[in-house]
Amino acid sequence: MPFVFIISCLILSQAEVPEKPDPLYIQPFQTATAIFPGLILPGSGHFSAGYREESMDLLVFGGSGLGILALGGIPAAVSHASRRFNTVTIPLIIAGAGTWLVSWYADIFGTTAKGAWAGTEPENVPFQIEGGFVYTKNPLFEFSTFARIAGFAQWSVFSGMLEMWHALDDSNTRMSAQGRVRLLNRKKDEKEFYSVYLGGEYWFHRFGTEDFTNKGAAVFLQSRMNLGGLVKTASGSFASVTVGLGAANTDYGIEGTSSDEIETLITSGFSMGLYLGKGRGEIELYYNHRHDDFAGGLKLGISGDGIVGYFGIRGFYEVFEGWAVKWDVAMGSNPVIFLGVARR
Amino acid sequence: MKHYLLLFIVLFFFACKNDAGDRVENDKKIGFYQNDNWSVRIASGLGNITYADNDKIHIWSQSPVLDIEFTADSTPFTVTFHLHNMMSTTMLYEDDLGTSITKVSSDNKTQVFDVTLLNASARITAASPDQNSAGEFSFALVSDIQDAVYKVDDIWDSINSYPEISFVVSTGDLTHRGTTEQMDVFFSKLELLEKPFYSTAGNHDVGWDREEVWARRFGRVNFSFVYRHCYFTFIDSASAGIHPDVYSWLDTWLENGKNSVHTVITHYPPVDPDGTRNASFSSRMEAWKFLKMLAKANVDLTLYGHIHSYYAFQNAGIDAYISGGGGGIDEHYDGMGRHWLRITIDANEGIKSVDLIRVD
Repeated sequence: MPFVFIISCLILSQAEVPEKPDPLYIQPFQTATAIFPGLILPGSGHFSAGYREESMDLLVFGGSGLGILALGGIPAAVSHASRRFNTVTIPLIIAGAGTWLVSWYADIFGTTAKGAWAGTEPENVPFQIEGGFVYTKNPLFEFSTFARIAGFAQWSVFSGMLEMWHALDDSNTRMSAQGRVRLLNRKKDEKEFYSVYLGGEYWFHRFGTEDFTNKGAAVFLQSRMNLGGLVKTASGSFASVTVGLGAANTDYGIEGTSSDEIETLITSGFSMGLYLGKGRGEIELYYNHRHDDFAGGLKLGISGDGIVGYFGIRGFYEVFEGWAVKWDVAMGSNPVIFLGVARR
Repeated sequence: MKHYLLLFIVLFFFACKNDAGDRVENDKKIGFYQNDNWSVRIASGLGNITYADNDKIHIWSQSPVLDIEFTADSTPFTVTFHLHNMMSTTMLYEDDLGTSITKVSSDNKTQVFDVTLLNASARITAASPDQNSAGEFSFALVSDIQDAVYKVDDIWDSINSYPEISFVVSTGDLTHRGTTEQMDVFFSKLELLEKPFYSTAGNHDVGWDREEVWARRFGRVNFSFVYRHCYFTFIDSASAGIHPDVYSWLDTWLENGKNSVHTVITHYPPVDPDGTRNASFSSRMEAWKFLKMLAKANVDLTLYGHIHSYYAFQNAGIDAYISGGGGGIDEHYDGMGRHWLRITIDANEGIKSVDLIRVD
C-alpha cells in the first residue's frame, strides 16, 4: 500500500524536463523526492522531474545493488553471521549497500544538477608526490600528529602507491605499498564511464612506545564509475565500490606469543563524489570497512557497535598548475584529519 | 515537520545510548553507604549495597571475598548484614577485636550476620574458609542468555550437578534489553543457581541506556578479585571497546596478578577470530594495545562472549575462549547450541582444563 501511494504521488508530481538546465535553479520538491522515497525506490527523483528513462536506469542500477545486498545479507541473517559464510557475505553486503547508496546519490545529484554541473574529471597524471600533516585524537595512545608522505605512479594499465605515516610526537610509523592493474575500461560518448581494477596492498605498522608491530596484506577488486555515463543528469559526479579481503599478524614483542595468529579483515568500502572545476579536483564522501586504520570503526554509542567501519570526506583541488591541496577528514572511533600538498 | 524529525532522531539516539563513561562513573559510587549513625565502605566496590536502613544492610557481592569497613558514631552498635551472592560456607571475620559477630542464617547464597561494633570502627572480611587454601578448583562460564532467560533453569541445573564448581562467571548479555522487568526475571531465575554468579555487562544489558538498572542490581562492571590465590578481572567492553579511564584500573589489577594465575573476562573479544565479521572491538589498534597489556602481565586465560557460539583460540599467545552459549540466537552451522564451560585451575599449576558442557 505505501508503495502504491508513493508511486501515485510520483506520477502526479511529474515535472517537465527543462530544455536548457540551469544549475542554479533547484526544484526542491524533485530533490526532496530523490531523497525520499528515492532511498527505497531508486530513481524517484528523476521520475518526478520527468526523466523517465534515467529513472529506469537508476532503478535497475539501485535494484542490482539491492540484489547484491540481499545475496549477502540473507545468508548472513539466516546463518546469524556464520563463520562459514562471512568471507563472502560481508563483502557482498558492503558492495550491495554501496551500489544502492550510489544510485541514491546519483538520483539526488542528477535531479538537482540536471546535467549542468560544470565539474569535469581531472586528467590522470603519470606521477604524483604528496606530503602533509595528520592530526588525530586517540586517548589510548600518545601520538596526535603525523607527517604523511606518499608517492603515486602510473604506467599503462598499472599503477602503484607508496605511503608512510610517521608520528612527530610518539614512536609510531605506518608504511604501505599498493599496486593495481586495470582489468577493464569502458567509455561512453567518448568519455570515461567505468574502470575495474585488481589490486594488492602490503602494510607494516610499528607501535614503538607500546612495543608491538602489525603487518598484513590484502587483495581487492575496485570499480570506479563516472555517474554521467549512467545518467547524463549526473555528469560531473563519480562513485567507487571496493571489495577486499586481508590478513594480518601482530607481533607483540613477547617471546612465544602470537607468531602464528592470523587476523582477517575486510578492506571493502565505497565512495561518491563530484568533480571540482574544469579538471581541477574532486571531493568525495567515503565509507571504509577497515577497523585497523587510525580512525578505527565508528562507535555509534548504541548496542551492537563494533561492526561498522569509518566514514570520511577526502579530495584535492589544483590551486596552481601542477600543485594541489589535499584533505581527508575521517571519523571512526577517533577523528583523523589530513591536510597536505600534492605535486601532480 | 522538520523539527519533529530532528526530535525523533535525537530521541532515538538517546534511547539507544551506550555510554561506557556513565558506567565508569557508576563504578566509582558502588560500595558505600552512610546515614546519621553509621557507615559502611566495601573495598574496591566489590559489593553493591542494594538496601540499607538504621539496623540492616543488604549487599550484593561481586566477589567471593568482601573487605568491609564498618563505622558507627556511638557504640555498641548492631547492624544485620545480609550478604547476597556469597558461597554457602561464607563466614565473617574481624580484623581486630572491635566487633562481635553472630551468624543468623544461611539460605543458599544469602548469608545473614549480626555484627555489633564495640569500637568506633572495624574492618570485617566476608569469605569462605577455603578462600586462601591451595589446590585446584573449578568455575563455570555462561554468557549471552538474552531471550532464553525464561529457560535458563536447565543450564543452572547442569552447573549445580558439578559440586566442584565454586562459582559462575559471565561476560554479560544476561537479558535481551536489560530492562528492570527482564532483570527481575533473571534474578528470580538466578535463585535456582546454587553457586555465586559474577558478571560484567554485555551490550544487551546496558546498550539501551540501562546502565542504572545494572548498577542497582549488580554494582560495578569493572572489578577484580582474588580467590584461592588466583586473580579474576572483569572488564566492561559493552561499547565495543574499553573506556580510557578503565585502563588505569586495569594497569593496577594486571600488576597485582602478574605473578599469579590470572583470568580476564570481558564481553567483546578484542579481535574476532573471524575478523571479516568483526564482532569485536571497533578499533583493532585498541585491541592490540589491550592484548599487549594482558600478554605483558602474564595473563593466563581470556574469556569472552558476544558471539553466540564456541571458539577456542589464542590471542597474543594467551589461551582464549568465546562462549556465547547461554541461549541467545546462535551462530548456525557450527554444531554448537546452548552450552557452558567448566574451567579448572590451580594457583600453582595454572589452567588445568577447559571443558565444553552442552545443555541442548
